[in-house]
Order: sequence, then C-alpha cells, then structure tokens
Amino acid sequence: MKPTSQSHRLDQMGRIDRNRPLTFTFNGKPIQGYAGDTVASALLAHGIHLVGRSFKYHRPRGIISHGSEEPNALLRVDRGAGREEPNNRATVIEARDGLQVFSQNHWPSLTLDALEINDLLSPIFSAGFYYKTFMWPAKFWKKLYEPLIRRASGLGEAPGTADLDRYQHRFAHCEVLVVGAGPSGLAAALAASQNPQTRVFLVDESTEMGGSLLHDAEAEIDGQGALDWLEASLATLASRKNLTLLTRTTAFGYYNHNMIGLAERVSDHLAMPQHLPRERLWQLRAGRVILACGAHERPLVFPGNDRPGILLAESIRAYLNRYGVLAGQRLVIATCGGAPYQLALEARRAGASVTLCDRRRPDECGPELGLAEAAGCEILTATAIVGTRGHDRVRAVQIAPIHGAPPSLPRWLECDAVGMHGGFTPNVQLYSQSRGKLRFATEIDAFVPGDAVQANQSAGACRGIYDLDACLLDGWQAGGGTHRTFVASPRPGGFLPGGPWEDATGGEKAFVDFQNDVTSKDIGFAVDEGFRAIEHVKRYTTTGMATDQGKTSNMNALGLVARKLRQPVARTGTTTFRLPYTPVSFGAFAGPHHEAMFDPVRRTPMHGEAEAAGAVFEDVGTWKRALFFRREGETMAQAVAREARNVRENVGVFDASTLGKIEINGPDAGAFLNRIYFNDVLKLAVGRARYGLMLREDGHIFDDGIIARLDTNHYHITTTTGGAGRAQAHLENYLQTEWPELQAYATPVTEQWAVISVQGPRAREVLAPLMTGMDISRAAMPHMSVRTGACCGVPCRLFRVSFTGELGFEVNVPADYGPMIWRAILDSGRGIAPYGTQAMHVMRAEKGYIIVGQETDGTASPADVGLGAMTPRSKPDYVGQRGLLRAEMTRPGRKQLVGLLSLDPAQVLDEGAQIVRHSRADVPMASLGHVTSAYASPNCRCAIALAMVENGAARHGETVYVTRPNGWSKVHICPPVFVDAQGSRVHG
Amino acid sequence: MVEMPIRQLPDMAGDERFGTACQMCVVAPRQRLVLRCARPLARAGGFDLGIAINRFSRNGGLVAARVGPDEFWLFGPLDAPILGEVAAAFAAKPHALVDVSHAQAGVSLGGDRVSEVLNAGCPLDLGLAAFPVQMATRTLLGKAPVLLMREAPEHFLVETARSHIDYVRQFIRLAAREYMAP
Repeated sequence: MKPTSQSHRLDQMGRIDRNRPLTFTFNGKPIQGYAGDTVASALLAHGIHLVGRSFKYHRPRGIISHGSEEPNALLRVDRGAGREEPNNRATVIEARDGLQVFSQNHWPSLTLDALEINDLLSPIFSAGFYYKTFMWPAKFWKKLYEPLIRRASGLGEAPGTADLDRYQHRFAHCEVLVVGAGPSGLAAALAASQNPQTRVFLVDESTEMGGSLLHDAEAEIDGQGALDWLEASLATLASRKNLTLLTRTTAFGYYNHNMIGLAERVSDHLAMPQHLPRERLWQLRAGRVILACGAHERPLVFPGNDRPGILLAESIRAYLNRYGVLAGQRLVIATCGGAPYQLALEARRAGASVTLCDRRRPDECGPELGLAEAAGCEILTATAIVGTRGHDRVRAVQIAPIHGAPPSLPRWLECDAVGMHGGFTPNVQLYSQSRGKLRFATEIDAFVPGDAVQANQSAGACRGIYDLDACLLDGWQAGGGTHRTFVASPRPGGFLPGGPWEDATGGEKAFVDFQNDVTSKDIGFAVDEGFRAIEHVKRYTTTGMATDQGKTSNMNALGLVARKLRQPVARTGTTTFRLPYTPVSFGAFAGPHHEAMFDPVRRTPMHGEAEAAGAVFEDVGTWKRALFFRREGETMAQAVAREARNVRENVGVFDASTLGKIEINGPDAGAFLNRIYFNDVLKLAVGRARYGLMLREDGHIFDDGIIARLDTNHYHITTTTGGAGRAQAHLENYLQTEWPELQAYATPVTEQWAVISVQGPRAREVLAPLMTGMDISRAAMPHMSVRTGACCGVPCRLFRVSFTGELGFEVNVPADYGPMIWRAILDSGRGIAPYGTQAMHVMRAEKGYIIVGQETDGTASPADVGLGAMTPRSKPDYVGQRGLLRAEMTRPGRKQLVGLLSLDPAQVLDEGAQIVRHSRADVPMASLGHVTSAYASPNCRCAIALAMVENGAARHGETVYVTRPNGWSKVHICPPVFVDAQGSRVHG
Repeated sequence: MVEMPIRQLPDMAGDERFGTACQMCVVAPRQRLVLRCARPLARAGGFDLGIAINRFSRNGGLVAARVGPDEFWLFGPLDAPILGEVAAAFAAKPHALVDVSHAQAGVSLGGDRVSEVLNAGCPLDLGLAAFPVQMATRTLLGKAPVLLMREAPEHFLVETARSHIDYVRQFIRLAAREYMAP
C-alpha cells in the first residue's frame, strides 16, 4: 500500500527525529511519522483530522488538543492479542513501528456512521432524556432499553482476552515531589535539589520534560533560547544524585498524608520491551508536594465548535513547534485574549494565511495587534464565530460583529483549521484531590488554589500565573530557592473575562463538554428544570464527568450556569475533582498481584507427600489442604467414603499442620489463659489437654482448639486454621492493652510444627514402635493428654486428641522433619491410608463436633452449640462473661445445634438451606433455622446434617422441611451425634 | 526401625542473579529463637541484647534483632548451644524462649538496585537515613509478612514464614526481572 504523504509536515521545525522514520497503521492504513511523534501529530501531518465519533450524537470529531486533556481523539490501541486497550488519547500515544490504532464508536465506518442519525434526532436527546423516556414499563429497562442504549452510546469496547502484560508496583519516599516539568516545575526542582540530602522527584506525564517550553521555541530565558535553557537545566538536574526524574509518569491521585499515586508508562513506546514491565504504579510518600501542573486552554463555545479541524490555539502551536506540523494552510484563530497572537505570528512565518477573530475591541487589545498586522494577519476585532461548515473537516466559519462593532452582515470565511482560545484554566485537579478549597479569581475568570490542606504548594500556571518570568520565579521560590530572578521574553497578554458567550441563538449545537456530548443548551435546560447546585447540574447533564473530569469543559459549564442563574461564578462554585487525573489501566493497579501471585499460596511441609499420594487440594484461607486422596477409578464420594471408613475400622493419617499453634509462657500463663478461654484452665494438670472455647467480649464464639499444658508455666494451644492470625492478635491485644500486669507471653509457632494426626482403633499400635521417651499405653497416656519425647529420633510433642471420635494422636515434629515422619508412619503397618479434609469433616459431623465459622456465624453462644456444660462455675472473670449475661443470650427461642436425618437416606441436604415447619404454609414462611453441615455418612450409611434451629434442643423427634432448589426435603430433627453417642471409642 | 532424621527444607530453589542489580541467595538452615522478656539482660548466651528497638547486633555468628520493646529474634548456627545458654541466663526472669528454627526461611539479597527491588512490595522508606545498616523490622513484601534486616547499604536479609518463602522468592524474581540484561 502506498503511504499517504505527510502533506502538512514542514521541512524544518519540530523536535522529531527525521533520521528515524516509522510507520504505524490507523484503521489499517499505514501512517508514516518520525521518532518523537505522537499518533495525533502524525495523523495531522497527513491532514487527517477526523479520528472518531462522539459519545451520544455520533458527530465526526477530530483532535483538539496536544495533551492528556484531549476529550475527542480516543482510539483503540492494538499491540497484539491480550494487548488491546480502548479509549487511548491519540495525543499521548507515542507513534512507533508496528503500532496499530483504530477509531471507535462508529458503524459501518468512521466516515459513514449510521448512528449519525442521532445528531438529527438530537432535540429528543436533551439532558435527562434517558431518565424521562425509558421509565415505563419498568421491566423493559433491564432487558431492552439498557442493552440498546449501551450498544448505541459509550466509547470503546473492553477487550475480551486476559491482559498478557506485566505490571509492577513501587513504593518510594522523598522530601519534595514536583509534579509537572514545565518552567515552574523545572525551576522548583532546580531549587529543591540543591541540597544533596533532599530527595526530590520530578515527574511529568509527557515523553520529555519542558512543558510549554517545548513549543515556545522563540522564547528566551536569561538571555538563552528557551530550549537551550531547558537542555542546560535538565543536564544540571540529571547530574544530581538526589533527584529522580520520571517522564511518561502521571501523578494521577493525591491521597491522604501526601501519598501520591504515579502511573509510569514504562515500555509501551518501545518496540522491544525486553524484561521491562508495561507500567509501574508508584505509591510515593512526599514530605512536600510542589504542584506545577500548568493550565489547560479553554475552548470557545460557538455553534459547530466541535468540527474536526477546530483545535485549541496553543495546541496548533505545539504541533507546529514541537512536531513540525502545520494544522492548516488557511487558519482562523478565534480568541478573547492576546495569547494566540504568538501562534498567528508563527503560523504566518510557516506560510499559513491567518485571520484573527478577536472578541475584544481594539482599545481592549495591546501591542500584539500591531505586531500581527505587520506580519500580514487579517485582524477582525469585536468579532465572533457564530457557525461552522464541513463534515470530515472544517471548511468555513461564519463570523459576526459583536458589542458595539459597526453593524455588518454575518459572513463566511473559508478555512481549513481553526484555533480557539477562551483563556486558560489553571489545572487544579491534584490540589482539589488533596482536599484543598478553590478560590475564584475574577481577573482570570478561573478557580485557583486556596489554602493548602496538606503539605503542598502550587506554582506557576496552575495557580494563575502565566508570564514566563513569573512562572520561573514562582517555581524557584516554591522549591525553596532564594536570591535569584529570571528574565524571560514577555508573552502577549490581555484577556476578556466573562465567557463563555452565546452569540448565536438557535442553529447548531455549541459544545461545552466534548467527551460527554453536552451542549450549552443542555446546561440551560438543566437550570430551567430547577437544578441549581453545580453538582446536580453536573450529574443531570453529565458535564465534567467520567475520565475527562472537565479538563476542557469545566469553566465553560460553570460560566453558563452562573449566567443563567444571574449570579457570579464564585457563588455558583465548582465541582470537586475525582481521581484518577487521567485513566489508569487496571493492570497498573493490580501490579504483580494476580493469578498465582494474587495471594501467597501456602503449602504444608507434607504437601509433596500428599501430591504423590494422589491428593486433590482445596483452598482453606491461603493454605492448600488435601481434600481427599484419589485412587484410580474412584469418584470423590467413593474416595471420601473409603477414607472415612478406614479411620473408623482401621487407622488413617491426616495432615493437620495448618492448625494455628501458639505457645504461652510465663508465671501468669495459666491465669492469662483462664481469662482468655470460656472454660476453666487453672485446673488443667501438667501433661493434660482440654478442648477450649474462646469468646468475644459479646459472648459469641470466637475460636476453638486444644489447650495443652506442657509444664507449670508452659502451654501449647491450637486454634482453627483460618483463625490463627486473629487469635494471636486477640491474645496480644489483651496482653498489651488490658492486662499488662500479667507476666505471660504468646508466641506463634504454627509453622514450627508439622502435625500428623493418626486416628482410628489401630492408632496406638501404629505409633508405639516409632516413639521413644514416651509411654503411650492406654494407662499411661489417656485421652486428652500430651507427652514430649521423640518420634523416629526427632523431637516430638505428642497429643492424644481426637476430632474423629476415634482413638487418636497428633504427632507434632519440627516442620523440616514432617515428610520423613509422614512416610515413616504410613510405612509402619498395613492398611494405613491418608485421609483428607472432606473425610475429616464427615467424621466430625458424625460426632457432632462443631467447626467455628460453619456451625457458628458470629452470633452463637456456647449453649447454642450444645457446649453450655463447659460454663465455668467459679471463675471471677473471662472474656465474654459480661456478654453472656445479656438478656438476648438466654432468651428462649434462640437457635440451637441439632442433627437432621433425611427421610430419604440418599438425600444430602444443601448447606445453608432454610428450615420451615410446613412446606405448604403461606409465603413468606417463618424460617426455623438453616442447615450448617451436610454429608453422606459412610459410617451411618445415610445422609446426615447439622443445623441451627430455633429451640432446637426441644425439638428432637419433630419433622420439618428443608428447602431444595426444586422443592422440599422432609427431615427428622435428632440429637447432633450420629456415631458412638456414648463417646467410648476415643478412650480406646 | 529408627533411621537418621532427614530434614526437608522448605526452599529447594538455588541462588539467583539478576545482573548486578540483585542477587538472591538461600539462607542455610540455622537456629532461630524468639525471646520475650519485659526486662531483658544486656547479654545472654553470647548475644548482645543491649540494642535499640528495630536494630540488630552481631557477635560472630550470633545475631540478635530487637523487633519490639520485649521481643528479640535470635539467630545462630545449628550447632551452637544457644537455647540452653540463653534459657540459663534468663532463668531468674519471667520470659519466653521459643525455638522457631523450622518455622521460618530466609533469603539474603544483595545488589546495586536491591532497595528498589524490595520497594516493589515493601512500603517502608529504605533510604539509608530512614533504614540504616543494622536496622531490623517486621514489614510486608507484597502480601507476605517478613522480617527485614539491613546488613550493609546494598545487602538485606529477608526472613519469612516457611509457607511464604515461595511467594517471597517469586515476588523478588518478578521485581528484579527488569534489571536482567536483555
């Protein structure tokens, strides 16, 4: 394909590297450019202005700016599968070889878009249209209206494939952060970094530092060309080791305590990113922040002001001076101030014809008038644009005299580009995010920062200082610099406040918010319909919302509302600005925390052994636990049944290493635990263990586990797997804040010990040969006791405890020895098989043992789950004692733990299912409670369940109904013990 | 029946290099003790305990890190009789001395970009003024709690729970990867 020529590229000028040509594609067509180009500058070099369709009316739209404030030129960037991203601003995408970009929001093509019909139908699409029109019938909203509206409006489409790029995070600290590397920011960084002990960050969202200096080629600073001054300043900054310079980095969020979020685009601009991440999200804590964010140029609000080819005047300058692109040969500049006269001079010199339409009368203008006239510009004072023509690109503007100018008919001026200037709007977004309150400055018709709420200071154009020398001095001083002045070329000044003006009534739409397709009429409607508060107008019309956050539109919208309400802008106030300043990719926020790295995956010491034995794992918190051990040809149900039967009939081995473990030491260890636990701990003898319940202050169950006394002042307690962290915090909290007088210490040892639970009638027979230094005979080591000695020569704490209802031991060995001991136990006899958490659950439910968090839900008391008998008789105080005295805790009708047996023994209930008295009662029925655990029990040969049921203890024998997805299960309520009700087997 | 005990270490990966930016080495098995005492001695079992909070001391192969008002982490070689000696020294004082040798694993990190690599997941200021040599503190690396000790300006030790060591190593790998030569 033959590349289109860069017809608008000048032979000279610009900071692009003409020795490094490149080619990318726009809607499949090759576009040529040079290193240093943005997609926007390369498109403009080809005379391409039409790059997208507007949000609501599908009007043809072009590039209007040269920076991140661009509301129109949003493109889809495609860097290959898994690397697609919608809504990128053409003005900030760096052109590079192989890049593919596409326009959005049109069908069938960019130049011919069927939904352009919306533009003609626009009288019915005014503000609030959706709220008023699609209200009825209500059920049509979800199925019909919303999908249709969403398809017709909106911008790019979200990519459908997972993001393949890598993203990184970085925390950093500095004494001074300077946001923005324009003249003020550079001067601030130069001053602040003089002291080598002061760590300074200078960040700028652009590809290179310099801000407006990059296109202010003719300006002079201290007798040097501005670009030479810039180069020298950057060299100075680069030589300072205490300074970190970050380009392509947007300070997008100002959080509390001077935490600034930075989004650094690390490698998108590189054809070969190598090992670099795509983006880096910085969380930077700054001692002080200097905001040197510059100002945005304000568009003028005139009918048809959104045609492609109508740009911000300063942006035309930027394309000319920075990229060597002349946006149009016949340029019209519409202005209410002197700033764009510099553009007029530069465009003339580049060979364009220039007509200036200045709102100001000649007597309101300064010397810029004569200079422009001398350069050959046509100047029309007291003149405004009242209409435009052109589809893909502006072809003509209609101009008319205003206020006191000699009357003449409106006339049409042919042109191929328009620059507009409605003044500047200081960029106060970060200051506003820092919670600072804005102050209205009438003379510049803009809000500027008021007092600082956090440790920050605004400098230069973002606080309404526009002269170059003043900006430099303001930055220097903000950076702590003294004893210095700057001499810089003056900029054409003068500005007529009071905009935006509506010089034409009727006719075409005059846009205020380009991104959200909000017109001046919409704002007027909103006020007519009674919206007075600016925040309400914003939401009703959507002006200033979404990713744009009103960068170009905000002041114009405020001005219109104020005029309509006949009140000053200062009283109308402004909306607050939301972060992020510009869109940040989801990947940057996620950083490395995704997929396998979303959370740490914790494996027990015996994980490899379990894996080799066919374990299927489940996630328990962040732990991987063996759910069951699959043998060839088995279903999960078969495997679980086999494992559970084997424990009851033979012996099973279970990895219990994830249980939380805490050692309690010190002379007051017993007294401390006696206060922490619900049950009595003081009477626990050395060498004995006991089931323990911890309550919260409110009397509800918090955690449970085993309390074992190893020595007089030495206890080893266990907690639930998921509760280990919070139980440790609970103990530390009471030790540090409630009972600092107690001499007791709690040390977490969860991971020190590998725990191998050996359960079943043959457990003792299996373990006895492996143990030394311990007598584990029935007589010497009863149920609920603890011994220390060695297992296969490895130091061992042996607990005789059971969560299955069988004779059982838990072998604790230092973690590195876990695999070896696991193998030794499995090899020490026939028929020994590992079992997983599912079989463990089944067996404990067969015994009616609760699991905290499954039977309990944060509202259960010990009595509710059948543990009322543990209530201590003679304890002066413990955590939860007062809570248990509340009337609510002893109220009749509380839910209590029961067992459920389905009439159909094969019918396993659904956990969480509701329980009611009659299946045929009127809806809504009163719920009696819910199922907490339900399993097929291989040992009972039927389905069993545990449930929390109102007055459950008194309902044994009753028949009730349990909800199913398609009907009901009829069940009997029974005591919550299904196997060995006498509990003799644990003493085997 | 009884064989020689076999230790199976949690971290089976070897040393890794990411150019001059970062080198990650496995810490060999060693003894780790947690000592808790409200009024600690200045010396015990060869450890220098007279140190400020969030600092560590080194005496030959013995390292003591004070990570709280009453909490020390003691590190020593496998064969050093530190458990008995420290216990004896503190016998008269209410204290806790708990062996956690197997509960933790560690990596040592060196290199000229090691602070940046750590700051990919550690929110602390690792500038030398804020985090000097001999500093030790609990902090986070990504989502893993770690004990971070600075042994030299460009040399850190990261201790973490044994079940977190795979995550910690992978986190460092991902953070250091960009410094590898192309």
